[in-house]
Amino acid sequence: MKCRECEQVLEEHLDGELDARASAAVEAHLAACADCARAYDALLNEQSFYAAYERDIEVSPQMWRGIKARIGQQTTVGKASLRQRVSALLAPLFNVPRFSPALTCALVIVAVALTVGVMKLTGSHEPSQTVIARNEQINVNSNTKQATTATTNTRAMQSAEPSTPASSPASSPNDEPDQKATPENRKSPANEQHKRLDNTLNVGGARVLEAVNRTTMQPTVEQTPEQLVREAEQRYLAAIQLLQRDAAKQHSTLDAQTAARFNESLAAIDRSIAETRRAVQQHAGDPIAAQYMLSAYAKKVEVLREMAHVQQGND
Amino acid sequence: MMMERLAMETFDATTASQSGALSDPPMNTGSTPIARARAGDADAFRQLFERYSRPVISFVFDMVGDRALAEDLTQETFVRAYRHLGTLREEDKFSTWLFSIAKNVAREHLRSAERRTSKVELDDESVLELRDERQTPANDLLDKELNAVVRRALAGLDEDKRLVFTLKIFQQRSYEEIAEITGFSLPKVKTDLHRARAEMRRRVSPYMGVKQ
Repeated sequence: MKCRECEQVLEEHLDGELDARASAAVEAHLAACADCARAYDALLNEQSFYAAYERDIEVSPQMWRGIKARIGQQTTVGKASLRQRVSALLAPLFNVPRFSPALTCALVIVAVALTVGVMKLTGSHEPSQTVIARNEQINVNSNTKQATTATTNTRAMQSAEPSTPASSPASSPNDEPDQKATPENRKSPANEQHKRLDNTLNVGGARVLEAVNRTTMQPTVEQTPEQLVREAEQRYLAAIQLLQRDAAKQHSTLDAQTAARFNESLAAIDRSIAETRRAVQQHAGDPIAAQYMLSAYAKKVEVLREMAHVQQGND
Repeated sequence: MMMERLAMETFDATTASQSGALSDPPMNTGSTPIARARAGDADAFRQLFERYSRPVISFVFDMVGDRALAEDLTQETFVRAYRHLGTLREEDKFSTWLFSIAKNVAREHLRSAERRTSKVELDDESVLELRDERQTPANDLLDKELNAVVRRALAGLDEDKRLVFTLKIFQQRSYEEIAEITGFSLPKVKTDLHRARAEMRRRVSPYMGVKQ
């Protein structure tokens, strides 16, 4: 090693930032070179000088009192802390402001009911802008909104009366428009599969609502709320699998920016699903945790369906 | 020493689970002070405050140079940390994360404050004009003078260099941690640190070796 090379890395060597090999090379050079050894000693002296520096500043007892006053008093309670943790996890998804637990529960139930209502319609009939307007009620992820608004605001939309969640799509008036040859309404194996899935989810969704409402009452002998929640979860997973498969086939029709925004939304939702599932497993029987988990699943289905709308529009 | 500490913590956790009282749990049960603080446990957050308040206030003081202001900004740092604890993804990054908040708080103040930055010239005699009306032993006076020299020299650095220098020399952070805290690239950290050392050297070298 030459002096010039040693000089360039001497400070890093002093800071312990060199790997073992480079450090050994520097040490070997310092042992052989008086000038570089003097330079290194000067750095060591500086280090000692700064080590002796004292600020004459202490942490006063008033500081903690001030902090405590500003953050308020909170106590650790089992379910309250779980609710705080879960709502903190979902806060980025739904965007603060925070609501009271009762209002949050009501909003979650409304969100699930709306999602079931959206799923009831075949994918081509529900105007994306209407879905976006509904999503704004529960502060949908802004990336998803921007992605769908940018790609759907020039499309002519048919308005359709929303059907009730319990009715079967096979018997709804929406069947007739299916036969028209528009890009959104053309029959395809995927659309037919979606219709069957919608029906499955509608039934599952209604039963989930019933299960959620019954958690405060005695569960029936036949199925406990936990079993119904698991069943609803399985239905959501089936829907997600189907939608993801379709999305993967048509991924290339999305522009890069829109695709990135959708992927970002989906990644955030997946993290929420993982955390809320963990919360449900740790606190079986907690209706709040179950509601948050199902809401996260519903959100994912919603986003995937929006993606499908956008992709079909680009075809 | 480590085994004794681990044994004590395990004992504390066992007695705590029996009595229901809060105590500092062992790391391997998953209920660390950070985890408990995230769940809303104010006592756990106090433990974090007590562990980190001194390095944070020292860092903030080095950045802003005023004691009362450093206390106020340190309070603000911990309040923000408490409110955003839910966003911390990895618990073992808590210290780096906390210092990032402190850095932001200090920088926000420095940028919004209407003050003229004064650069201390090497021949500025006011550096040595320390008035202390008490009878102070010579060594203590010398220490105060030298501390003032370092403080003035720090104040003479630009913000980026002061940040990097403080984190490396006084907080003993690695280059990678400094890059994480500051948001600077690694090359910038190395360059700014090298230049900060050179500038500090020019300002303090006349006073180095004064104290025997």
